[in-house]
Amino acid sequence: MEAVSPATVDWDEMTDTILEVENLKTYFFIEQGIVRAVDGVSFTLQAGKTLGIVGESGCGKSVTSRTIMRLLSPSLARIVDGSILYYPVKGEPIDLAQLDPFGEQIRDIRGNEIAMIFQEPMTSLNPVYSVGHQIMEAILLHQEVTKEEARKQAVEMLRLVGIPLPEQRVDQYPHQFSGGMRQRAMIAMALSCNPRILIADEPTTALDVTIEAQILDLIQQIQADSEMALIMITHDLNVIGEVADHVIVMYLGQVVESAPVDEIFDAPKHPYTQGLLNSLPMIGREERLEPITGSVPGPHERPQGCAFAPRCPHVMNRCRLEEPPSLIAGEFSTVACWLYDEQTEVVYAPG
Amino acid sequence: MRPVNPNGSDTILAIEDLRQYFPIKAGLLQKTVAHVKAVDGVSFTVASGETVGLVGESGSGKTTIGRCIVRLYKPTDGSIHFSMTDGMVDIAQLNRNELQPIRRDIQMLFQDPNSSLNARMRIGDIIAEPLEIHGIGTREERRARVNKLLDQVGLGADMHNRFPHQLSGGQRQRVGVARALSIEPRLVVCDEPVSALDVSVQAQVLNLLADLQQELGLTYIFIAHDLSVVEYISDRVMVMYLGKLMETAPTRKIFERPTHPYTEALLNSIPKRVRGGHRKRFVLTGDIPSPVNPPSGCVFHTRCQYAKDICKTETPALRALPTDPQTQVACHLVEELSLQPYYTADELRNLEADHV
Repeated sequence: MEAVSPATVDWDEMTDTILEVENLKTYFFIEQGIVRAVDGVSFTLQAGKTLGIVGESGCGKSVTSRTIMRLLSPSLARIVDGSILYYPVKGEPIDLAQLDPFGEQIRDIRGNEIAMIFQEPMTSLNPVYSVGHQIMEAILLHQEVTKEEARKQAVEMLRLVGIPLPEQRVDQYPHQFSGGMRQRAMIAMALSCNPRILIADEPTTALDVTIEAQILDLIQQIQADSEMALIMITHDLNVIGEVADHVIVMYLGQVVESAPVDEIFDAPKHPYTQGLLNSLPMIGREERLEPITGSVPGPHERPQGCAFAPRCPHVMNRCRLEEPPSLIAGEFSTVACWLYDEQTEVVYAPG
Repeated sequence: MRPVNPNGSDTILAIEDLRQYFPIKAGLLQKTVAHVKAVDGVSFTVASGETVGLVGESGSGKTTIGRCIVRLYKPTDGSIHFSMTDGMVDIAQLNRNELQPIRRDIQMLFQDPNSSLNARMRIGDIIAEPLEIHGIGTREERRARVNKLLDQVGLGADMHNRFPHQLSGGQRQRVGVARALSIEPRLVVCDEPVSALDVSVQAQVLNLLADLQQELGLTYIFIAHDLSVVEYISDRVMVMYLGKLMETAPTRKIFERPTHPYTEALLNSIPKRVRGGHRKRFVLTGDIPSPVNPPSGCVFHTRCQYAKDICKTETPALRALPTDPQTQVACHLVEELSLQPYYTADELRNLEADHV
């Protein structure tokens, strides 16, 4: 496999860009048919910044992140189109989508330069190895150090993520850790090789608010210290509001809106984004919630035209027939909705 | 329809010094070696028609209280008085047969609609089952009642013959609501009823619960870990920690003027958008201690940033604030502390302007 270098990239302008996903499509080929889990997703990630990915279950958030990490089984899921350009510290950008998922090159990057934290710390940690062993495994795989040094590093990582008595805890097994501590151990493992990109897939969903706050603070503090880029995947808009710089909203495998966090909250454009915000209980807001009607269709019930049309309060004839393209909505924002097309006569004023 | 309690402010439930200890057994002979003190001396009352939110971290005992009220557990000690037509009845120690008539009045809505519905039963039969158990109506009357319930919870009559796996998560939770309401209870214990649902569906179910309360005069005990959901639905909030009640107050006051350091810590932990940078907050360190061997004195003192010597030795009683009898708090230091509310100073000013 060889790295692809797009001639169009202007290197002086793009120094900050660390990951560039372009029109990514990941389809599952299963007995019942083809599931378009990720269907044309594009975004860029800058060093030191946080990209939030929101959407309800079944919107393709997690498949997007697993595609970037190349963790999906090739017998089930295939990248049918698009590119995932990763910009290493030195050298040409690498298209992760073109790499062999079992090859040397992706294994050098995965866990080392791009690391991931999963939602369920209990199922992502191996119960038969000590926590320290599992952190050392990542270190020994990617760095040329002795076992003693790796162990020292593992203890340091546990200390960094705020686990008390790390010298003793390092030899304990996952079942001896509480839920919050397991998630900290996962973070310690993910950060052990100083990744340049951290993908956090619902990292606080299974945790209590107090532990959630500890974990979010920890991630943001590490990010501030190391210029690490973060992709935060969550269904919780409050978490997005706290950590994200830029947000993409996904619905049925597509990006329906992409905008800086303030625009998402203050002037949401896509009816789905507006619906999500109106569904969200916000402390201090007294109005009644206005939920989106219906629920996300199943993977084999994808509607014609705009995927959101059957649930959209502003649906027009055109929406049921043609799929809307991503329209430029601002300096840094796009929206995939016919309401914002110049050819469309009805203009909807948000708010 | 049975008549709704005509006087809305009547006490429907009065709990006094409730304790639920679970034995830990070990060894060959399974001797009891210790107890998990899941609920350890909790007292409160609930007025008819109100919604009480029960919050706290996992392990605080909120679900155990709910299960004691519907008598899935037999409490170790204490009383649970429930208002029946012939006055208040202590249901804490009643046996199975004695409980039968009371079960009509107290129902529970469970968290996970996937595991709380029998996968082999049709939706119509699931909703009709409580009616059958209590011997209400004829077959036809029950069928008519089920159709009305399906309509009330926003599902069509065509759901009758479907199986749970054919429904979405939100639809399944609506079936759970219909089943809980089928025998016209007066008190519904909702145990994390929306936490397994997506945001848009969560909002649909929350609105449904609020509408049904208006329509049927229901009283809810709403257990949830998501404080924004609790704020939306509750009239009053009770904050629990390690099996004890730390603070109870009207919802608005909890968020605008918390009086217990643990409440303050919870409010500070809620993720929140603050324009132009990171929110400055203090974070509660460590985990909740083990309920097998809770700390001495105030159970929160090991994690409390204000703790003094007295907190380590003496257990604070839950007492009403002299300035505000609606707020009850269990803290020695309540008079000297000035705690940080959920809102920033600017937000508070705006809220006050709104209220006026």
